[in-house]
Amino acid sequence: MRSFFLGLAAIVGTALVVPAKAADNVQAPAIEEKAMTSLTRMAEFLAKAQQFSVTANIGYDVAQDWGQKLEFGATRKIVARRPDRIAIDITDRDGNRRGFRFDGKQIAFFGLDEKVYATAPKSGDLDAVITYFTRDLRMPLPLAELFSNNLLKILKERVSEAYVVGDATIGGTPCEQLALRNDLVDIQVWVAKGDKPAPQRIVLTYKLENGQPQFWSDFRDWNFAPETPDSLFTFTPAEDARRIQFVAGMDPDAGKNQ
Amino acid sequence: MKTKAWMRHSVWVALVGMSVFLVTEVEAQRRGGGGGGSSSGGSRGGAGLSRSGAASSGSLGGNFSSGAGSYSRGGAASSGSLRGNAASQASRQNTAKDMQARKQAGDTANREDRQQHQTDRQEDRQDFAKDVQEDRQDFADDWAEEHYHGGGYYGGYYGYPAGGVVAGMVIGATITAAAFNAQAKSCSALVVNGISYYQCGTTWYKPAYQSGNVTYIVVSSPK
Repeated sequence: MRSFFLGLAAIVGTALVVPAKAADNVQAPAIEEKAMTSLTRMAEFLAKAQQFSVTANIGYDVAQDWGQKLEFGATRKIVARRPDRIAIDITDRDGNRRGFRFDGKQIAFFGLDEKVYATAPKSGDLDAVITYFTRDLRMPLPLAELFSNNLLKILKERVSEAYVVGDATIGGTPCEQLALRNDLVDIQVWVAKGDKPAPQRIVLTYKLENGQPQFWSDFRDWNFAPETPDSLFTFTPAEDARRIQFVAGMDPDAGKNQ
Repeated sequence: MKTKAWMRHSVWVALVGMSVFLVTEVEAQRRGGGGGGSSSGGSRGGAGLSRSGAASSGSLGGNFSSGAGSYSRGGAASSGSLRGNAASQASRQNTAKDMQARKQAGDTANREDRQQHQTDRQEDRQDFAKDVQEDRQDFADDWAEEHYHGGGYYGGYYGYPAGGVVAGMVIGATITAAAFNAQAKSCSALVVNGISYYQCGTTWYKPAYQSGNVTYIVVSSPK
């Protein structure tokens, strides 16, 4: 009888302990110091780069109404010169060519094939222009956070979990794979080892969105000493391009009143 | 023994039945949600495809609602931002302070949206569509207090107090570049104060960038 109760106690005890352990196991580690060190290296390295160019090959899922995810994407060639110059040339996978220019005084967004462009006066540094473009003009600028002067601050604010997954080689470059999380997005970033710890790949999972769509980008041809003449960032509309406006901030009756 | 086998059998039948029901239910909700918020309906391929969504923003976090509805190329995942998003704008907030300010400034709808994401996908979709509308209403505030929502995002339109109905299109309605191009042959271009307009019959359109895409907004005659 006694052994029966001991056995019962053991079973109950195990039943109590095992789920608790399992729960511990499924929980991702909070912020691993080693991961944060690597992340900090990357962020400081990027933010300190006075000029750089890179080609981002991006793709993203778009959930369709019928429950299927389709992938779309683009190639983005980015050239920046701190504090206040950035040029992005975009080629969507369907061939549509678009671009973004900021020359320290003006933002321009244009479609070479659509033959349209819009401009907005703006001065300030890269952070100011990114904020203005995305928040006030409500235009997307994928991966723009990576160009921020405050990348480390942004990452620290937006990362509630971070850990090292392990070593991985991306496009021939030995990297360290980091996994980061916040309440909305799971982030994976592959940071190059060595003295130029630039991201080689990033994958974002929007875990609360329908279908948990992902955005990913491979970064190729990082160059931290590119030629950056002023002309690279100055926008000159093509002769046959039509000037349009940004909807956000637009006076809906502008046509009448102007 | 026989009873056990029978029970096992019925449990399996029940499980299969339940999963079929669940799948059907989810699908029905999805379609229901789609009906509430977007106009792509049953068409697949070409203009029926969504080209933007939650992931197109590429945002690192943050929820924004610009996505361009049923035929967009932007959306939450296209922003590439580290702060979540619903479509394409919010994400690139550079500081949490900015995020906060933006949220307080007018995107409470987004936040609610996000909360609802966690509980109900269908409501989420409706909220998203609502957010998109609210976004548009931001700039259309001066025009109309109330808006109507007929047939989906691009079929949606805003009431115009001054009676701005032009040949069935209401001032402030937007159509995609694809939809515009389909009828562009019958349109003539005009530039007023450096800004492009198109006249198609009696309807005037003004192309503009919205969430990264060129859309065509029905406007009153600029002349």
